[in-house]
This record gives sequence, structure tokens and C-alpha cells, in this order.
Amino acid sequence: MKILRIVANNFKLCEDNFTISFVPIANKTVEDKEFELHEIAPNLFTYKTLGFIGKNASGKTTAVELLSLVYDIFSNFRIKLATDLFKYFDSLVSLDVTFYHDGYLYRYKTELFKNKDGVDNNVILFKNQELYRRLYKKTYAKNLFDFSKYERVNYNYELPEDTSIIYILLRNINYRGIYLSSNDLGYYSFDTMTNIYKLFINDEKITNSILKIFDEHLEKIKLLNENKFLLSYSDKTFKELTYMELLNILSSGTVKGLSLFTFVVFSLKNGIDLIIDEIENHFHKSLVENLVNLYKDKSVNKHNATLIFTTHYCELLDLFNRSDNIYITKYNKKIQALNLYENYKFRPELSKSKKFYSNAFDTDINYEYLMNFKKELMH
Amino acid sequence: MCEGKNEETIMELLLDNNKLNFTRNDLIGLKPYNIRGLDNPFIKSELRLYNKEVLVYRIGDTPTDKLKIPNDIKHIVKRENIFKYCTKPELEILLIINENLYQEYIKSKKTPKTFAKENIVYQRKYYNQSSEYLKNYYGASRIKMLVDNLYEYKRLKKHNKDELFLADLVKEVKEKVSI
Repeated sequence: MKILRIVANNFKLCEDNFTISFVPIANKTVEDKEFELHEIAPNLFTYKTLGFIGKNASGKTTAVELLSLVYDIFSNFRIKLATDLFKYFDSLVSLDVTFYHDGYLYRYKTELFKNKDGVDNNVILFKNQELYRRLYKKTYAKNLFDFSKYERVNYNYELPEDTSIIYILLRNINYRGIYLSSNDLGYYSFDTMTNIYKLFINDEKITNSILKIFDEHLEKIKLLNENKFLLSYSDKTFKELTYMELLNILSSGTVKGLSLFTFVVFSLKNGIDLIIDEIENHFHKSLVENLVNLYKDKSVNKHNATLIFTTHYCELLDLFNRSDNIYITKYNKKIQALNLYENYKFRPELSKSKKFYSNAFDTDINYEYLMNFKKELMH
Repeated sequence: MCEGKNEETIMELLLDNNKLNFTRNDLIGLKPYNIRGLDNPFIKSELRLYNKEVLVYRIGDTPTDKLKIPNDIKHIVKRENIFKYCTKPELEILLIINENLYQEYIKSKKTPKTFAKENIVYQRKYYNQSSEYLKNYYGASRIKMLVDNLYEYKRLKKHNKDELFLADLVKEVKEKVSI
């Protein structure tokens, strides 16, 4: 299963028909096919990386939260992890998701709303769900979103109102995308990380190779039992530690690094998309560069995983050889996600960071506001 | 740096079978790249992560263009450290040599690609220019043929002064001598 495009209406403060696409629109060079794009079916390409950039409070996080909502539906067939997104919003959210699965193109439409009448008003319900499909042929690649030839998929199931009909297609509850919010890469995610490690990876060599990147004084961590770890140092000394002791003894950078890179391993090995809000938050720039390159490298990313991230640092976008996989978010009455290629006609060979610094995309911080603040400090 | 997908496949086959005088550990990012220029962000950032001087081996038919070195990696890639390794006029010449069709190919006056497509059959399939075909053709125990073909190519062909042979990258094997 690979998502091709999401169109949302009434989602938080987003504008009407708020769209995020994973399908390239600009020309595809030989090198792009090598490093920037997955060919998920003959002549059907999706991005290996997708970036969102914009000022503070411009809607970067909202854009990736929308993705987290869609991946929640496609992983759990109900709103399980993304219920918080509906906390302060009572509107009827509508989603229109196009995806590819097992030789077919699908279009899934649904509306989502908070169950205000129920005992638990954290439950999000589905209504007006529709599923359409069309057998994929390589000549359709240019008309993926021409829905006139899609046929309605009828199903004879009576599903609970909190359940998506995507269940009838994908069946198994499984991670299909993982969302890491900007404050997730701490102790909370370390917990999830150890679970993921135990369940899916369980490979000491990988964990130890990650460990060395973040702290060269450490040699390895071995899970002895549910709550006991053996931490070995490069000087051959070791300590037996409980889970909490281990968290306290490792530097916060190491904890975050281990968490993030465990998710990365899980994502790459299983072809699961990884969404990271503020990717630069906790790491050295070259580590982020290395991370982006892992997703671009077909000898590592063998199962079509996509890395989606938001960032304030436009230098990171110079790692992209294309410009259609970059969205600039803006908040002007409503949140917009503007495509760097489609909306700005940006030529991919130009330096993206230089253009950002020259404020070509109107992303500069307001100088007057900064000076107002300084004036207040001067008084 | 491999000029095309098939050059990359040949290098991968040689590396996987430990036939070269270097290993994956000696390569930036542990792999050869199907890339023609150094301005691609992927290769640039891989080089910056290493951040020390490197040797660049350009593998191709006849790379004649001068490789541009972007300013931000000039301390990593020095002009004098760039070397060309050629298979002229096209990579398919190796398969032609392997099939003992070199003289016929000369007479045909066709390009190696066209000649190979018309005359080379392996496992009931005509040569189709794909990487999969090459992997099958030279994979597993047939890797020895590839090495022999590289040496034979060097014997048959003359190169310009600055063009080296892929055979020059093949690891020398010291034969055991029994006394």
C-alpha cells in the first residue's frame, strides 16, 4: 500500500482542498529515478522524501498531523493515535485519499466527526465512506486522479461507526506510517522504541551500531529481560541497569538518537513511511543529512519507505534534487501548503537555501516585530 | 562513478565476488554510484560526511567530458585524483568477447549494443540491455568469465593515455605453487 495523494477539507485551520501529493509532477531525470523516486509499479513513481518548510506557526505541524491522521486510519482502521487532533475542533473533516495497493489504484472518501453524544467524546466516527478502484496500467500514470474510470467497491459488511472500510481491503492492523511529533523523541518514544525493538528488530548488531554513532564511549546494550539491560563501555567495563537507570545514564541525545534510528530501521526494513516533525530538533546537521540519504539509497531503502519531515532549516532542502517534493506552508487566514515546483515554478537546479535566504517565498520573520521586541527590552 | 546502470551492475558483481583490488569498505557510502556528475545532492552530502580527500574512478564507455567539481567539495575531490576506466566503444564488447564473436562483430560494423542484441543468447533469451540480464550472464560461477573478458579486452584494445582499463582494477591472484 502506498499513499499517492491526500485532499482534506475542514481539517483544523487548513484551507479548502488542502492537498499533499506523493506523486512527482516535474520531469524525472535518470538520477531522480536513482535517488529521489520509488517506482512502486511500472511507470508509477512516488517520492522517497517529502519536506515541509515555513515560518513558525505557518502550519508545518498541521500538515504532518494530517498525514498522521491518514496513516492512523490506514494502520488501525480507526482513529486511535490521532484523537487529540479533534480536541478543539468540532467540524466535519472530509478526506479524499488516493492510494496504490496490489495492482490497483484506489480512492477512499470519508467524513470524520467527534462523537459528542457518546460517553467517551474522544471517539471519532466515520460517515459517508466510499471506496473506488481501478486496475493500474502503466499508461494511467499521467491520469492517476482522473476518477471517472474508477469503479465503486461494494462491501456487505456492517462495520462499527468508529471503523474505516479500509479494513475490508488491508485487514491486518499494522504500522503503515509512523508519526513522531517534535516533542516525541524523548522518554515517551524510547518506550515505544524498546517495544518496537523487541517485537520487530531484535538485532543487537543494529542497536550497537546506532549506539556508537551517538556515544563513542559505549559499546553495546543488551536486553537481559523485561526490565534489565547490560550496558557495556568501550573500555570493557559494564553495568547492569534497570530501564529507568538506563534512561538516566544515557545522554538525552543518545536516548533521542536511539529512538529515532530504531524507528528508521523499522521503517526501512518494512517499507513503512516515517513522518518526523522538526527533524533538525535534536541532531547535528550531518546526521540529518545521513538520515535523508539512507532513504534515498536503494541498497538500504529496498521496500519503498518514504521519509516525510518538517524543518525550519532551508539548507536541508538543498539535499533534495527535485523541487516538487517540497511544500512551503503559509498561514494567511487559512493554512496553505504551496508546492515549490507547481506554485513557484522553481527550477530544481537552483540552490533552494539561497532562494529562501533572499525571501523569494516570503518566509522571513517580520523585522518590525523583532525590533518591537528589542525596543521593549531596551526600555 | 558509473556512467550507466549496466556499468554499476558490472562493478557490483565484481565487488560482491571480491574480484577487485578494493572492497566495499573503501567506497564512499559503501557502494558504486550510477551518476555522471558530482553536483547531485546525494553524492555531495555522502562526500561531505567523509570530508577527506578521495580518489574518483569514472567507469564508462568513453567519458570524454571534463568532470565539474562543485566548490563546496573541492577540498575532497582534487582534479589529479580523478581516473577514467573505459570499455570502448560500449560495455557490451565484453559479452561479445566472451562469446568469441569479436571478429564477427568487427566485420558487422554494428555497435556492440546492436550486435549483442542480435547475436547473444543466454538461457534462451537474447541480450536485452537490462541489469537483470547482466546479473544472470555474469553472476555466480560465471564471474570468472567476466574477469577473463576484462583481461582479454585489455589485450585487444588500445586506449588513449589517460584512459585506464577495468582489468587494472582487478585483484591480482597469487597462484599457489606446490613444491
